[in-house]
Amino acid sequence: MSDPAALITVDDLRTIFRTGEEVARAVDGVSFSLRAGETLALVGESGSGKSVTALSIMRLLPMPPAQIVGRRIVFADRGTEQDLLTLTERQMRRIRGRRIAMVFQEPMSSLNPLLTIGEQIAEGLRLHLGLSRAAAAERACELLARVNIPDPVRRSGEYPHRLSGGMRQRVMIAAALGCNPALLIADEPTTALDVTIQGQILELLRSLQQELCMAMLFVTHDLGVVSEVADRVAVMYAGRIVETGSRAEILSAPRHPYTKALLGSVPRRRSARRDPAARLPAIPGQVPSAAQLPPGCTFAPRCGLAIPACTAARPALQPIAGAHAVRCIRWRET
Amino acid sequence: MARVTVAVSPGLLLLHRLLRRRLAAAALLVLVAVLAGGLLAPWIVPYAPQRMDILHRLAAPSRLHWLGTDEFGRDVLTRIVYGARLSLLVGGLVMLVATGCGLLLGLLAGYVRRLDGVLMRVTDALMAFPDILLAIALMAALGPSLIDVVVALATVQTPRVARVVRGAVLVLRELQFVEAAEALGATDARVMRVHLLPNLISPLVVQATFIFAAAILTEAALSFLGAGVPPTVPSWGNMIAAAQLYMQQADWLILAPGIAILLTVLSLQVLGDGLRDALDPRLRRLMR
Repeated sequence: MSDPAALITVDDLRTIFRTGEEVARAVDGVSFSLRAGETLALVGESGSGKSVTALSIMRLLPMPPAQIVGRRIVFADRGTEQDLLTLTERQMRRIRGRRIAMVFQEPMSSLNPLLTIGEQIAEGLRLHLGLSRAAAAERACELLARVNIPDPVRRSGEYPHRLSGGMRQRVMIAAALGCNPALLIADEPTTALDVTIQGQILELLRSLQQELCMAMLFVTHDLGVVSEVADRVAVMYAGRIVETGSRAEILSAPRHPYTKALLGSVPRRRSARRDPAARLPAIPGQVPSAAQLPPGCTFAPRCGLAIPACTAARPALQPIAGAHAVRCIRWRET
Repeated sequence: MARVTVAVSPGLLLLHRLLRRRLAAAALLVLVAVLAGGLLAPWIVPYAPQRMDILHRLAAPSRLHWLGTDEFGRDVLTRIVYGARLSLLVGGLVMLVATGCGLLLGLLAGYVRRLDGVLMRVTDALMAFPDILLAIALMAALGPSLIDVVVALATVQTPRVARVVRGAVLVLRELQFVEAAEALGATDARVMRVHLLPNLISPLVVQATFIFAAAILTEAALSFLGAGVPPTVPSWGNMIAAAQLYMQQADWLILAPGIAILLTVLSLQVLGDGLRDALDPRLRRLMR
């Protein structure tokens, strides 16, 4: 599934955590690719491995206990192809923040309380672009203006405690975009924000993405957010991608029982429900522990359609049409 | 409605908060007095510290000798003031060396996972010995000079600082701004210097005052046991050790240095508590 135009190709990524005797397979064979300007949403519940996937790409997981055992992450940037997994730590540092940037979930703790806003944005600029203190400070103000922070000059001299969550997330975005990265990894950037601010941040990310022709890997568990930002969607469950396709395919015509159940458990207005009196459906059971994955299809224990064949062998990702693919042996019947 | 930013330096703010607590203010006053006495010793004391006056040996406190004289007729007040000099010098140096080394070790242990096990086992091993015992053993190996005392006491105190710093780093390193800095491509050294170190200052300052106090106390104990600075040097521990023989006839000999140690160490402890509260407004609010 190698796409020659891809900016980044994650090929059979496997990340495990060793804790004593146990081996937890947090990411168990994840593959996807992403082109410039494209947004891929990585969707899944807590513990499905989506954040570990993101951190594996950045190689920011603490090792040990984490270990990336397979297989390669090809980053084709500016005409050169590199396997991020074979780079030295030093080479990796040159890519982090410069070519691949990251925005985190928790804007309240993402900023160092003892440095001013301006200093924190300038940090990456000085590190990667070698700007002088003054030039970096000036560019930091420009970046603040670009993420729509009013009065950037004054704000850049302030400390994070004076900013609201939404403002801090804007600052984080400004810091991430400082070096015009080719790929932005956004790890649940809107989860900690209230809904109106969420909308603003998504809008901001989208417009900046277009402006910079940047690829975006958007990690989220919020399907509402997916419908707003994603071009393509990959649904993760227990460390594997169970279904992938375009936004419309996944949201309107899901084939995997897990995707269906996930979409079914999104709360809707009373008038939009088929049966207004029914309780909100939930998926029975819970995500299996990454240390004890069930054999075969990892979703089988919770799946209403499971048959003995489901647990016999690990199902492969089967193409349905175009880019739409599903990891379920009974997808035709769903 | 423009908010006005009043520029107050953090140091000034801290001092203000500290002085609002009466006990801490008193402690600071005592320490300033001791410090001034120690620094200005040659100019303020009435006699030379080694001047003997055999005719007036073991003289009770009087107008001539405010705190009396010792078994060689040396002025006790003079020796107390000179002793303050030594105590502060030892305490201060030990504080600097121990917090410096402890900070470095704690940062490395807390942030560089590979080093954690090794460094913490070493500190555990050092902390397994009782303070005094370890200090005496080190003194026996090193020698009796002032520098040796500082090295021995710093070795005893460093593991404590390392532990505290490591604990704070373990909390800090999980905060997202550390991860964010790593995601920006910052080196380990840079993360430690720019993002961890400044956030460690509060616990470090508090720890430093306690180490100052502990160093003074241990130094006195070492001198008392004869394992500290040479007995001719006026130190509070030496004075108490020498006074043992004359305790029944001349109780001031033991009381004067004893009270000096008590006041100084107590003040440092109170100051440390006050600093801790002043540096952490949240904790203070909870305690009220």
